Amino acid sequence: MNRNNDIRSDFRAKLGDYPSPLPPDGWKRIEQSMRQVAARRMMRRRWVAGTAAAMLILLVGSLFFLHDPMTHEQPMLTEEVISPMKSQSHSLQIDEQATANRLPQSVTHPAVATPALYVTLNHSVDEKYLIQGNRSAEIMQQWIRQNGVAPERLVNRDRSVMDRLGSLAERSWKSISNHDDDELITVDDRDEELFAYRSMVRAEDEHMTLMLGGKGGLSSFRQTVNAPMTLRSASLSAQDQYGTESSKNLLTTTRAVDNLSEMEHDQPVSLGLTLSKSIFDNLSIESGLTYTYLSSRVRNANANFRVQETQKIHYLGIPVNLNYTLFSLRRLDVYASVGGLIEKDIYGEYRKMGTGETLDFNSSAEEEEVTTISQRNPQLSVNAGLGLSYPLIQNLKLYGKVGGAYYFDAGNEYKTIYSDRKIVMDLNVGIRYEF
Amino acid sequence: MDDSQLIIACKKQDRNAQRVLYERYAPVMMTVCLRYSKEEETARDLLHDGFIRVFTQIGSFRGKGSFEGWLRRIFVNLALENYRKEKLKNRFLEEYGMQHTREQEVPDDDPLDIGDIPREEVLDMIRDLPPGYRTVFNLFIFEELSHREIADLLGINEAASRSQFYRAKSLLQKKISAILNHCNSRYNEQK
Repeated sequence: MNRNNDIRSDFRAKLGDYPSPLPPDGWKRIEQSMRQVAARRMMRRRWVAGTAAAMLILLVGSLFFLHDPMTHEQPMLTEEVISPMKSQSHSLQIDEQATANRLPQSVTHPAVATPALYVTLNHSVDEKYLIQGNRSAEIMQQWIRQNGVAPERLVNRDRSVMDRLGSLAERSWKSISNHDDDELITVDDRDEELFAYRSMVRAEDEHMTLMLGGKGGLSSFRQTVNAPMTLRSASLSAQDQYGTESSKNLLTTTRAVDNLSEMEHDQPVSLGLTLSKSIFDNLSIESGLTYTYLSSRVRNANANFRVQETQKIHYLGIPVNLNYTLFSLRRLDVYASVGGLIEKDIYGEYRKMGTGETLDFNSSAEEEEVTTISQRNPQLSVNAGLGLSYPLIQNLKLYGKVGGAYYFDAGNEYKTIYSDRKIVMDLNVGIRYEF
Repeated sequence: MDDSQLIIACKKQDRNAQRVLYERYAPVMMTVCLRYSKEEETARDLLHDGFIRVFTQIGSFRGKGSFEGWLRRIFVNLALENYRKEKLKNRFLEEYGMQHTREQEVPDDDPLDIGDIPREEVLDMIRDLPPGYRTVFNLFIFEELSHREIADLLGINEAASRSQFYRAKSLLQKKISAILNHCNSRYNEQK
């Protein structure tokens, strides 16, 4: 050992701080690469920020949607947006006077700078009462309580009035997003009729979209370890019911400490045909059929053996997605999407090739095994993404979406990118036809 | 600008500071890369990739311990990653065939006298070793790892590490003898 320490000292003294000549373009190459690294980092940050923003918008949008007063059982039912100019010139005068007569002072405020809410009874449509704020459901409840207005008092079966109220309701829904304006709310007990009327009017605007697209994973998987690996997750077990006896022997041999193993899962590739239906303003539900191809390989080797496993699995899946149009820039729509996908393999092939020598180096062996495989359980996943859609000609649009999916552990026998990576980023492009 | 100021500036991704750091440490790190590579092109790639890693991960350097030691570890780790990749590429057989030699008693007392041999020659001798021998020799001599640690790092057994080190020493000994004989004969001729 002392000799070895001497050797260490000699060599370290000789080469420890020995400077070697540098490549002439060394720094230039590094500088270029650093620029690319910075650009990639920026892209990654933007992507994370964009995804987070989309998820936040979706979450807030969903909460807002779930708490929409129109979905609650309220004794009211039409809303109209009146512009501040209009309300100042006409409505306000009536409101102030009427408010003094009918409403308690504590809830009566003039609409000056902040958006205001006007209330009308359906049996006297021209009467409008100003109350404050935009939280119409709460205010209406309070107002009805304070004034003792029971739905039974407000029966009005006049079709023309109902049509008018329905029309007001429809207009208010179309402009409800513009909360800077004041609102006119009409109280009525004929909720169902008004909703039916409104649904009828809105049905004319609802459309279907047929989408044909392809999806490529932005993620692949690669792992290199010294322990032996296999695509059959249970095949190293003595009780394995899937591995053949010979393959077990081969793999058992590769457990030697000098083993080197590499597992690779290629990026998934998908094709899909889906149909989307608009269910509310900016919100649509999408479903259909998708085909996905997954391929994986594992190489195990040591001094004696080389074993290569390859696996190809074809899946069919049914996606269900909610798409929400966030905003439009001229003709470009930006939308966010969340949903789930259930997939089941329809065909799979597992191929194993092994070559090697016996331990005494006196003989060699080759083995090839090809089997048809099937995953036991369907694969479930959830996904989210941010997409763009741009019209090409007439009703035909080009769309692209970047997103990510989380794959739940399906407990299947054959490892895939779904089981090993869990979160897979993807890029989805295609065309959509609205009709 | 001393190292600590340089590191702070590099953490802020200051390009000028990165250049100064490169110029200060790249020559020695190039020697590290050359020690682990037969081909100069490979060493250049290691140097490039190593500095990219240094500049992107310099935020993780906490100032504990020597900065040069931290740099050196990055380059050695990179060289080992490259070695593993090469092993896979070569389908393991040639390299592993040599590694899988039977365990043998390895004498520890063979001297290696490099005192009169120029540095370039010593570096070239190491680079000429087969990849497995070269890697074990470098890890044992320059990184001062034990055979147990080398075995864990390379996924081989301890005996294989000892064996390869012994073989590396034997090869170096032959080269040293050849160089010294050559020098002696030239000296005698001049005389």
